[in-house]
Amino acid sequence: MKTIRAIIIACLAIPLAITSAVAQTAKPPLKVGVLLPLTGFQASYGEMYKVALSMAFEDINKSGGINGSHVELTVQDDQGAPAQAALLFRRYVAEGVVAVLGPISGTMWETVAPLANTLKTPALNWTALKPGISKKPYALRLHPADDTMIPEGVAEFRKKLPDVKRVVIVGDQKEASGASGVEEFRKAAQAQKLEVIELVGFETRTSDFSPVAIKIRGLAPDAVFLSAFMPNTLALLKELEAQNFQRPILANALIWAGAFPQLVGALGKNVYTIGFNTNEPAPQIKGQPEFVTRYIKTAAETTKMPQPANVANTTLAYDAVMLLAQTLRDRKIDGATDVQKARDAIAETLSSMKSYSGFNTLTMRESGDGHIQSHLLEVDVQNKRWKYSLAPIDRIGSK
Amino acid sequence: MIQDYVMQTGVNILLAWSVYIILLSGSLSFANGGFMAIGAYVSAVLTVKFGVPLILAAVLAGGVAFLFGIGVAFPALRTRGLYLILVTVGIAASVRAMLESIDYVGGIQGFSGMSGASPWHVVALVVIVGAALWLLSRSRLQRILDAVREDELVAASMGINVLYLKLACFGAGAFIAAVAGSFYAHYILFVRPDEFGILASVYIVLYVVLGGMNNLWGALVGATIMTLAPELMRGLAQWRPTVFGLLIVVLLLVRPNGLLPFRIPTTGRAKRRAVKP
Repeated sequence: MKTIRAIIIACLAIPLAITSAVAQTAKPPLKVGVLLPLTGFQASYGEMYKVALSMAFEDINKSGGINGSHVELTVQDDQGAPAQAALLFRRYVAEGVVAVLGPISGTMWETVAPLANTLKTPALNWTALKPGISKKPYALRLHPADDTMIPEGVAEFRKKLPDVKRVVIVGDQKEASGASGVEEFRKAAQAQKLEVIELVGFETRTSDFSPVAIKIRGLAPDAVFLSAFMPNTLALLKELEAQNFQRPILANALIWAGAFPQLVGALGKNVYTIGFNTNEPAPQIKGQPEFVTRYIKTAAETTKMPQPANVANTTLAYDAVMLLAQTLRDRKIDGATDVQKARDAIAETLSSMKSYSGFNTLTMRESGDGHIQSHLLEVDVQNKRWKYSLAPIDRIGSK
Repeated sequence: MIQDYVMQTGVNILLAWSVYIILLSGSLSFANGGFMAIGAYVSAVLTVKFGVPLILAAVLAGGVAFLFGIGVAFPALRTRGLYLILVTVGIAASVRAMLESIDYVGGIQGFSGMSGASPWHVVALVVIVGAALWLLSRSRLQRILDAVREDELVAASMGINVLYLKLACFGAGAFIAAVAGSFYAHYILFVRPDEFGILASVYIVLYVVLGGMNNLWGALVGATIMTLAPELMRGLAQWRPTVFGLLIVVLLLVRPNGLLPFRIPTTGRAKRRAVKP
């Protein structure tokens, strides 16, 4: 009798399960657009974030998608050009994406943020540093801006090197992110009661840094605060080394992400930066050591990035995707949901979000920017990676 | 999506025509990226800070660029050939440097808050400017400009005020570039000085050179191809810039005088009239 009952239940259950599975896969996909620089001078950054984003979307789809819908990821090359980013953002809107991830640089984010609000399409950024450029409710940045990162980094720098009293601030004065970093360094130095001897500027396309290095050496500071992209930083370091300048250099997060620790070599021995993650395993964060291992392995297999790949804020790229996925699940959005309603619901949820915990624990500020406690990092020259400069107990804000 | 292509192509056609108009009098200008910047910034300030309607702001910005163009062209046109080109490069660089230094318009951080431009503004302007250029190409003025372009001394000896014509062309080119810049700024919503650097000016000249410098259609075709070709090549991923660059080289090798090198005859009607008894 029991066998017959089991057969009847099985006969009823199997078609039901098949119908349910068919119904699940029959839902249209959820479209998400990604803007990354895949060509041009920022291409290496695009490549590193593409790995992390692909990992996140792969994980989501492997676990059955979102509310029964497969998530369809489209990546477009914005070439690191604001006009291209704006054009592609509009294209994504026309194609019916529910949200756009990126673009990555401050300049492009500043261009896309107002557009996201005009076109009422959510955009999430996980990298830009320039303060004051996010626009709620549709354009939100999860990454902390320089106005929180630099004060936190300078505070730890002071803790690490208490003898530093006089600094020179050096920066790319003709580039928006570089210039805003210089300004934040100036405020942070003032707050830490450091004497700023002089602001020394240069231009993005500078190739000969000897006048800048001579000026810095002549001013004889205890340390240098630097706000510049990686190529300029490497060129300046080489020139300072040639002129036997051996003082510590604290750079903002413009050199944290990317291949700086692999490329700098011995020139990096006095270099510090500001960030909230390194390749060092952080067992206290669930899944972080596994992410680091997987990221380095995937990057080695699928890209030409210098090895071992610098994880840096790619954890936040992964978090951005997971946060979006969680929002879609919570708001019961699937591929059949009206696109504009989905966009409005995402923006409403994200703009009212107070905090999020993934690989990174972030709180959202009124400005639409995230805050993650940042720390002082230094180059681990031997292992070609960043490492925390202070022991956990000495780090500011560490529990 | 189509609207974006219409907008981008329309703006680039206007910019190409702004160079073409200056070329009509025999001068080549690499300053038009600078004139576009003046239009973008002046109109943006007018609409954002003073609430001026977009169309009026665009016309006023064009007027400012017109005066600026004439102001800088007056001394610049004392030079010829390569020297004039270098002076116009200097004008474009100066405009960018000037905008980077003015905090009122955001300096290097850029300026935002504009909105309201639609592709139809640009389409309307393309039609108006195109019609004006077409009428010009059929007019007596075109023959006068041809004379100035071919030989200034001979033209002057025939009583043509060469300097006046060259200044007028420079001013008109600056006006059109500025109005195009106004609509561009109000469509893209955010502008920064480095968008209007030398490279922008070089691209604008390339539209005309590639399409053909002898008629208005060449500039139109050149700008359209140069705008749409990179978009059609997106599938080439990282090879796109290389293939696009090669395409330009091949086109210039195969068609050194541009894709549409012909001149529009302007003398036919006059001849017919002349032979009437």
